[in-house]
Amino acid sequence: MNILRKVDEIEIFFYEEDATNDPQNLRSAFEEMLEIINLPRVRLKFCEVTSFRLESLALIFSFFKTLKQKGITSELLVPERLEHFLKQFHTEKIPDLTTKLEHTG
Amino acid sequence: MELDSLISDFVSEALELLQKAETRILELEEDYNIEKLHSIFRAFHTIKGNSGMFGFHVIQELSHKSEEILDAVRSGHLPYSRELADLLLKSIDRLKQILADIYNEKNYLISDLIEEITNFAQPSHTQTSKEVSVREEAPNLEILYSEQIKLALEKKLNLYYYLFELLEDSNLTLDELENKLKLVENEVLSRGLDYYSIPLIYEKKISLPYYFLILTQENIDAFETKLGLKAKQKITLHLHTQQKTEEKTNNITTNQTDFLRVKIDLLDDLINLVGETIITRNQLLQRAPLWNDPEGSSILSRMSQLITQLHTKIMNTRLQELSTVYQRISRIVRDTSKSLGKQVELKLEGGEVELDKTMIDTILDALVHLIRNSIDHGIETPEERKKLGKSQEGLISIRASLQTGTVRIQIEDDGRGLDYEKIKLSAIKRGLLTESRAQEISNEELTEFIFLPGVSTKENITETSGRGVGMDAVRNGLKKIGGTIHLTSVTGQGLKITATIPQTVSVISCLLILVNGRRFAIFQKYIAELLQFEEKNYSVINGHGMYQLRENLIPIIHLGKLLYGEDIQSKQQNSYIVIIRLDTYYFGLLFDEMLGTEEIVIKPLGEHFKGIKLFSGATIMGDGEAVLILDVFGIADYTGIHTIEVKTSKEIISKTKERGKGYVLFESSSQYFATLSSSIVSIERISTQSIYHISNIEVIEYKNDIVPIQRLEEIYNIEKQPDQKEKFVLICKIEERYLGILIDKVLDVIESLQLVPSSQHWQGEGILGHALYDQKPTILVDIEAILTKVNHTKFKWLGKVIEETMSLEVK
Repeated sequence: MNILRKVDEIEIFFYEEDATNDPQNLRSAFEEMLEIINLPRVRLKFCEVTSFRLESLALIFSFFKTLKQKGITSELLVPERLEHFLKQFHTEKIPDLTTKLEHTG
Repeated sequence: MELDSLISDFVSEALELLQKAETRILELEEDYNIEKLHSIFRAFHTIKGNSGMFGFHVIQELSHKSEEILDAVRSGHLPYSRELADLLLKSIDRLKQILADIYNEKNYLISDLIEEITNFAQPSHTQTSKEVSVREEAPNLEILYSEQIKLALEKKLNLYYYLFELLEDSNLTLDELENKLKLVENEVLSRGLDYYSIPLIYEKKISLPYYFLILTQENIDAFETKLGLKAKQKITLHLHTQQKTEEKTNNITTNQTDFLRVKIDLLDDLINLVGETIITRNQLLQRAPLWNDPEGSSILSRMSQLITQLHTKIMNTRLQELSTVYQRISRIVRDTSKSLGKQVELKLEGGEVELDKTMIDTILDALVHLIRNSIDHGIETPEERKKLGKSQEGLISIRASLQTGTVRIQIEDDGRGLDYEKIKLSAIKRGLLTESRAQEISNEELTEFIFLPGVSTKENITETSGRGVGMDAVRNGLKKIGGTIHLTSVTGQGLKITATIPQTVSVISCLLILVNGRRFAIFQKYIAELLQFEEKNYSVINGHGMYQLRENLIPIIHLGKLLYGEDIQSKQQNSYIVIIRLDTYYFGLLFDEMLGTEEIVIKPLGEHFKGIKLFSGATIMGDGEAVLILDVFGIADYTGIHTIEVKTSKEIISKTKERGKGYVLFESSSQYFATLSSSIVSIERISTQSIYHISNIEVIEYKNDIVPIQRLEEIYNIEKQPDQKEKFVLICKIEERYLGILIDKVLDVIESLQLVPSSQHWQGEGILGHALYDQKPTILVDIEAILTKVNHTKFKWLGKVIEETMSLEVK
């Protein structure tokens, strides 16, 4: 996972290994991030991600929900091949979460 | 109406409202329904209004606060959560406490609870909490799915919300769920990730909650069964039949005109009066034939029928539905499982079964004990259950049914069942079981130890259980109202408890008997059989009367001796025996004359009789005489006939078969004995003069060795008869040492014996069972067990004494 801090937003680059490794590491990374984020917008971009552990996906949604609690808006940038998978969760219905289809990887 | 009376009405109504509110709160946790929330709100609102009227400001303030927080939930400003439910239950508990002491109402402090409720209602509560549970935002569904609820209303269908957890370790994948949903595709209104149920990242448990909305005609459970998946959470958003259900559940406000509050004391007075009327009627019925007035007899007969009907109706006024007990049980399951960190699902059936108020009170105490035990001892922790391949949530089900005047209640759990090894150790520790007996005792017999005081399988005493005082109290409580209790357990799979109790107690069918010229009554329900006494079937073993009934030896209690200290032998001819069946064992009561059966009205015994175990009550007969009712449990306790299941012949035979073939039959002091021939090394004929004494121990010489001998009379408490010149010794080898049993004569050596079941009362240590030889009761002796014990206790010092004696001789 790479984090790019811009002037008014933070961009997180999320890789295959983040999606498939021990979810505990991902949780710690998100928790640390929540401590330091002070910008109004977060964009999470899937890079070369083809499969997911459900725990990792659960952590991403939990992360977004916690961001919302802090008043931070979030955006999920999804590669085409994951579109169908995420559609099953109806992510478009999630309040304040923008899901964008992008050719990210 | 006096003020006190008005206050008393207010208290009982408020308690009733609080009880209903408590039930609704518990129901909401299972099935969220906005109408139930309104119902809780209304309960607090009514209490607030009424308490204000009487000037009970503490109650008014607390109910107002509770009402306020519920209003915040109703308006969607606050989510309904388990935490909120806890707070409301706390408020109910405090209100109940104050109501119970209404005249001291002003002295109760509620500031802590008011503060807690106020803090909880702060908007920041949900914003900052890092421990928001999955359930907490559920009420938002009412707002979130308002369009769908409208649709359900229009289409007159039910709308349900189901929530599943999709994670690797939950054994449910998205594909599986989607496949299942295809089967009910037409009924699915919408589905997807439930954003509101997603936990925050700080929470320990992360889950991927997947929901779907179902628009269907079916009920919520039927739909779940049809789907073939167990939802983590299910909520009724709209129920088409809701109106009807609510009419039934909210009778607090709508059906007031159908009910009248009557004091229990008044009902008790009515019952007493109708009891007296029955006695007077019986007196009239006895005398009527003497008057020779057919017309009068006909009127009397009609009046008799009316009195019976009146009695039934009045008894019915005391009947209460078991659902009142179930309400309390739901709360106990919730609180106990929470405090012990366990997950428990409670299934209740038969809440409509009605019982007398006395029975309700007793059964509530018993159920509370049993349920707490079940959660504490039986149901495993979620982690343990997962390891065992069980669902993380344990199941406790209570089923009640009415069977011809008897209510049967079954309590079943899917926990670990009874730990027989722990029961064994506890019983040995308490001195209730010897180690040698423990080796051969069956699981069914061990189950009975659970009901003895002080026996517990719990290593640590907790707030919930572990002191070993529960189960004996449960059985005694049930016994007092004529009930029974039975346990069946499968280790690792769960425990099933069956309790039976009569629906009412006041009028009961009894057998009337005559002992020493006085009448006594015995409850008909405990009677298994009635017999005329026959001398040839009666024998005395170990000083106790035994009666041979078909293939059984039944211990007999001579009522004349027990109640009047009569000589046993004097009146046995022309007597009768009533065979009493209690739980799992039988015994007989010997009496003089049988008078027949009669419906009697039970009257409690006065304070002076409290210490006497032999009687459970009294009744007034038609002729005005007071008759005592025999307490068969008390008699069994008093005479020491224990409540341990009778061994069957089969069990004894299989046990003896394991240990060798053939029996040696012998006699000592006119008592017949048998033992396994494999236990005996040799049988020696001796002269009584060849018995020596060393330090009060009798010994004989055998193969150049000194062999201590034991008399069976000392062990079995048999009256010793004078020694004949010649006797026999059964020589056995125990722990590399020869030991002998002194007997009068050997009767026979046979291949098989006719074994008979007998009460545990006669199965002391060293008795394998009983048999009939030549139609005479015969004790089947476990010689090895006796001599092993004697060798360790009585003969322990013998070796030393002999050594010392020999060294003296050498000197």
